[in-house]
Amino acid sequence: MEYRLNNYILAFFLLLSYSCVEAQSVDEYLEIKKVYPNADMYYTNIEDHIKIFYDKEKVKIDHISTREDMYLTDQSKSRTERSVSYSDLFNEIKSIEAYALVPKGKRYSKLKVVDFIESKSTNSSVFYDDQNTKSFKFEGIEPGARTYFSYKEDIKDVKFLFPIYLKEYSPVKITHGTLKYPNSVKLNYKVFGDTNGLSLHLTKKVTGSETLLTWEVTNTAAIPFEGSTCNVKYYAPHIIFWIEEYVSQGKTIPVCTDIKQLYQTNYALIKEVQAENSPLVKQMADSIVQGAKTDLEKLKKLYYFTQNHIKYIAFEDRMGGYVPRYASDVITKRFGDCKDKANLLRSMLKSVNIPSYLTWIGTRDIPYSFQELPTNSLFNHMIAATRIDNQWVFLDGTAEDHGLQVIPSHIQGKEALISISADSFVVAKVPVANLQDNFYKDQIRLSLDKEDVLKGSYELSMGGNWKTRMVGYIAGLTEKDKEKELQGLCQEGSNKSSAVLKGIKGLKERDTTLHIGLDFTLPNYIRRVNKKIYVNMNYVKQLESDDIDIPKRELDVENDFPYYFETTLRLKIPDGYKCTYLPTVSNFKTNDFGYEFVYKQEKNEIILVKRIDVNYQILPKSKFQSWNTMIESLKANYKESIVLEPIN
Amino acid sequence: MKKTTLLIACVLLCTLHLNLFAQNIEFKNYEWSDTVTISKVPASMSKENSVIIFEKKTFEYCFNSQGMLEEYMLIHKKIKVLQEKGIEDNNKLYIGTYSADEVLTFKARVISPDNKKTEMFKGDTKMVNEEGSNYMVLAVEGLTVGCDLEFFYIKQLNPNFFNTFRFQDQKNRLKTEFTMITPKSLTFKTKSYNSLPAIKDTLINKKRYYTLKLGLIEAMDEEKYAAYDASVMRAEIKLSQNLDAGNAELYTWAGAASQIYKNVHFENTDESKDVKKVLKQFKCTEPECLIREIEAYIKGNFNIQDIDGNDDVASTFKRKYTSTMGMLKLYVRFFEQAGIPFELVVGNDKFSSKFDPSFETWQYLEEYLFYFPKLQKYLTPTNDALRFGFFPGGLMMTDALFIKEIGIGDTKTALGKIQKIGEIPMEKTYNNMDINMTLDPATLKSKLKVTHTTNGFMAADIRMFYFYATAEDRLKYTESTFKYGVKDAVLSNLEVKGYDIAKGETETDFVLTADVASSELIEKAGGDIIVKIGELIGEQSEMYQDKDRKMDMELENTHSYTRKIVFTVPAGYEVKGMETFNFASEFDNKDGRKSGFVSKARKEGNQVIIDVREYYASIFYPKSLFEAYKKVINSAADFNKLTLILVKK
Repeated sequence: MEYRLNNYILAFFLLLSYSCVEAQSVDEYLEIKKVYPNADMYYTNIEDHIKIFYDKEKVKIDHISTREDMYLTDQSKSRTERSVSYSDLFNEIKSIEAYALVPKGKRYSKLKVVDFIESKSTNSSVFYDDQNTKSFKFEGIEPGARTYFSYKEDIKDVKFLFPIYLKEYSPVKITHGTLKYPNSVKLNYKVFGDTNGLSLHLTKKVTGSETLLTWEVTNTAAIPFEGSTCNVKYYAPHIIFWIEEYVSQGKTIPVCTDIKQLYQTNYALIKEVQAENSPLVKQMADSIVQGAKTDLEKLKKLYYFTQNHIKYIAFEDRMGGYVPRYASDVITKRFGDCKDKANLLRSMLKSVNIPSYLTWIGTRDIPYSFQELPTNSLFNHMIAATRIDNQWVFLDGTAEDHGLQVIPSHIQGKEALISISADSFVVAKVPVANLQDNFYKDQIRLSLDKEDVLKGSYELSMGGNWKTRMVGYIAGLTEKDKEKELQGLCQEGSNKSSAVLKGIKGLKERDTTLHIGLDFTLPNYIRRVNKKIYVNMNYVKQLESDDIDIPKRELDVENDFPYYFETTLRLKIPDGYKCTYLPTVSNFKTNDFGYEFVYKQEKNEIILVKRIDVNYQILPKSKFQSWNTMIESLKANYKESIVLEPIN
Repeated sequence: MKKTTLLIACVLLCTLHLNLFAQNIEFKNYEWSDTVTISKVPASMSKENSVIIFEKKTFEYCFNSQGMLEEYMLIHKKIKVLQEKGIEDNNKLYIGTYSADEVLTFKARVISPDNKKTEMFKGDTKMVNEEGSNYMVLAVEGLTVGCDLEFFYIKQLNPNFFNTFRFQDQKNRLKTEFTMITPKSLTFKTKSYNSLPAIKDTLINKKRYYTLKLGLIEAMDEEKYAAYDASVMRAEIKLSQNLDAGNAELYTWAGAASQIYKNVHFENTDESKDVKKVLKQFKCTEPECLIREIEAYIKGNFNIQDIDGNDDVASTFKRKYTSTMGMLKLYVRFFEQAGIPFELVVGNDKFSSKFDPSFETWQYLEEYLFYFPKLQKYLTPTNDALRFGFFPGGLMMTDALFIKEIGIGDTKTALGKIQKIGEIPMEKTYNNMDINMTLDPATLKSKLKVTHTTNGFMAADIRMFYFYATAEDRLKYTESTFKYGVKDAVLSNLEVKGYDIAKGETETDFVLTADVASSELIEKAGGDIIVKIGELIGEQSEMYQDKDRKMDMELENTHSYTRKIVFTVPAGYEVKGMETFNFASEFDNKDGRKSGFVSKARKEGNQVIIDVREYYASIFYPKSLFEAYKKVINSAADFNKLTLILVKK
């Protein structure tokens, strides 16, 4: 009897630990479905607790992260996998717990995750890094299921506190947390992103020897998911914390106090590699600059070599993500990442007596200014800088095919931290490209043959960022594909056209315009009815589909670089014909964009000169209406055909 | 589907012992010569990004001291880099391997045009994980244009008892050597496809050598509508006999049938509890209805993912996802409990390699279907979008292994036979458009009533998307469908029908209707109006091919497009240019069927009625029909350009 009872008890406990029935109500699921009919997932709780403390005079940080989710649709069922990453340098995962709560009638049954898989993380832009992940899959997931995922980590480097995001790509019931730190630690924080309509409760409470920061936001809508826009950091509200300084053994240890302090921290990372004086680098530089007469010519030769002949391969293990490799190493291996290329270029330039400086910069993905934030969150990139005619010129070794005068679009308008010496630096701004330099011009000459096929020549010329984009594209093509792909340039207006490539000029030369010439024919394009010939001279209709869906669009529109399009199309009037209808001049102009169409007849030619200017980096929502007005007006112009009729 | 699941009961004992070489591996001490000479390529190839100078692939099977079978592989490759792009294509080496320990030897070197070497070793490599797979990777040092990159490595493998080797790709190869060495007791069969010469088989001392040496193999370019992977030079190999254990042929169709049968059946009868409980709730009694109900239940509640644990029915019920094999077990249990007779079908995607009934290898046993002989219909257990009656196009009209349960007394086993998987007729798959169009000459705006009707293969994914998507996502898709033909479409009175999979709408027409307002279809030229009727069908792709066609044309499925456009001519105007809408391009598929594009226009009162039909009645077209085929494809692009002109009366 006793034996049997024991078994029952055992079975009861087994049941309890295996499928613990939670008393949470399933009804909330139906409520949430009603409130958020378009969401797949719903976060019921996002919670972070960070604690900064002293351990034997050293400052340590631990962090507990907890996320509780609810699955709302069948679609979300495929998202059962979660992971957390860690690396030797930054953090160590101390504990991890995860389970799913699966609806069973009016209650939930609990399915605990037992298999955590450790593997190398995947990062497509980096060839190798030392990031690892612990990942797992929730079991039993169906609409209405909830999940719980919590882990504790030690953060190893006091310079790297992570941002707390106050919104997610799904709606959230509550995002909250605490940050506790000793008063001998000086901590600062700022809120970034779009906080409009966000009721953030951010409190600071100092008690005795400790300070407690708390934050809470409730019922946040999902972050919009839209294309052609800035990095999520620009619009997703988030808090960045950073330790300015702390006291240890009676001494104040600065961490991130201001840009000067940040510079000193970073300078320590480049000091040693900058000191290298390698004969190999000198030898290579000398061979590259052979034949160059001026410093400017030398500079260009070394810059262009670094861009295209040192291949981009990134290793980011341990400090490898922050410290450039020795120039001699990079020149031997023929590969490197941004900082390796920057340092090699600086080193080669130095060997031919041209001063240049390593420069930290954040690409346009990073919204913060040096004024706002004195931490490494400002930077994700390294370049070199030099002075020409008293102007800073920025040399981005990763910007393949860019001429010296062409500023890579990803750093246009960004602040740069230029390292002059151990204790001196310059903050300078990378200019935004000038609209006039980024042109895409086509010159088309057409005439009509006896079979009503339009025949003619197509001359494309490109400058600035347009050119580098095209050169990069052509470089990626095999010899076999090149002609076929370039023929496509003038086939945009008709998939019936055929083309022959006549020549390309300026492909290898960095400082000239790129010219691509084609001969082409355009059958089935003109319409001839009775005796009239109709020709739409808007063979290519740029920006035709670029109107913005204003009621739906939530985010600003980003443009890679300012530019203009210009088309000159000349159509020969067939013998015995005259032009009986020519559309009128049309234009539109604001500071940010505009266009002009001019039709005219010169002797026996009809000429259309069309120019479109797009002169902004970010188009804010306030200007959407004006933009759409321009596009509407452009479309009306694209609909115009000229009419040719027999003279008699 | 990983074939390893089939190998649970392999006829040979095998193991993966790391870090110890079996005694007699011939390439155990493989080395290259220290003296190097830069290679040359024919002038005709000098514009290529890179050319493969040679590739040597050697495999050796041997028994280790414990009598376990092991397999080793040697790869030695030399690549000439000719352009900058060639550096980027080759300066990162990836060797697929679970752990670095499996790669026993690795060396790489770059040879410069002046015969200088830069050497790299295993210590220079790193392990990475990309998209779930582990690789040993090397960033190749010192590679510049004109250099040779040469590397070799020896890797221990899990012994392969059947395999596919492709000898051709999109790069020119100057020299290739293939060798497979086995103990005398193990005989392999090999078969070459697509003009690959036969692999030679020689017995020397106590070993068998299977060898193939090839000179130049020309690159094969991809072509549209072609089965590329199935068309390149390839060899299949399979273990045929283990003479130590008799003369029986191994890895036969019969063997596969009985193995798969065993794998999908199970001993634990408790597992049926969950299945029985579900079946009780079902309303259907007729087999077809019941099959559909079972399918809807399984596809609505379970999916296939990589799993580490058990794939038995009880675990699947708990976890809600399972492996492919777990999914098969689940279906089998349902069909058996419901008393539905079925056969399990295992075949291969024709776009990867064509199932060859005359060469018995388990390599072809990749994709699973259920076949219901009484209904003569199939069910695809591994694809949520394809519902009862439909199966992946890559299996259509291909040979496959059909596995049927047979009972001898109380013992049940399986019988396998090779049969052709059937065809799904063209009539089942279509996309039709009905368009009524009017226009206001004063504002140059047009109004349209548009209906899209889709079914069959073309509707499968969309239907599933609509079924699962949120209202917002549905609307996005609906808008994009109408905006495909009319970019500036302003939509109203949207209606969507035929996607409620749960209510059995898996073969009903999927219908989208809308009223569309647009201005972009109308152009003006002085007082005349140009109506761009052709654009209503959406942009159509054009097919260019200047070079001779190398491969036959193959389609996933037969299908058709029908468009009916009714355009009302506005009062006061006369319509011109209707005659250009009358054209046709049809051809005989050489299998008794026809494919083509036919456009006809007629006038009724003040309406212009245009009927278009584009149809592809066969899934296979020999390359001799290429020109005719291209013409049909391009006819749709021709139609795209057509306009009507309205002239004031």
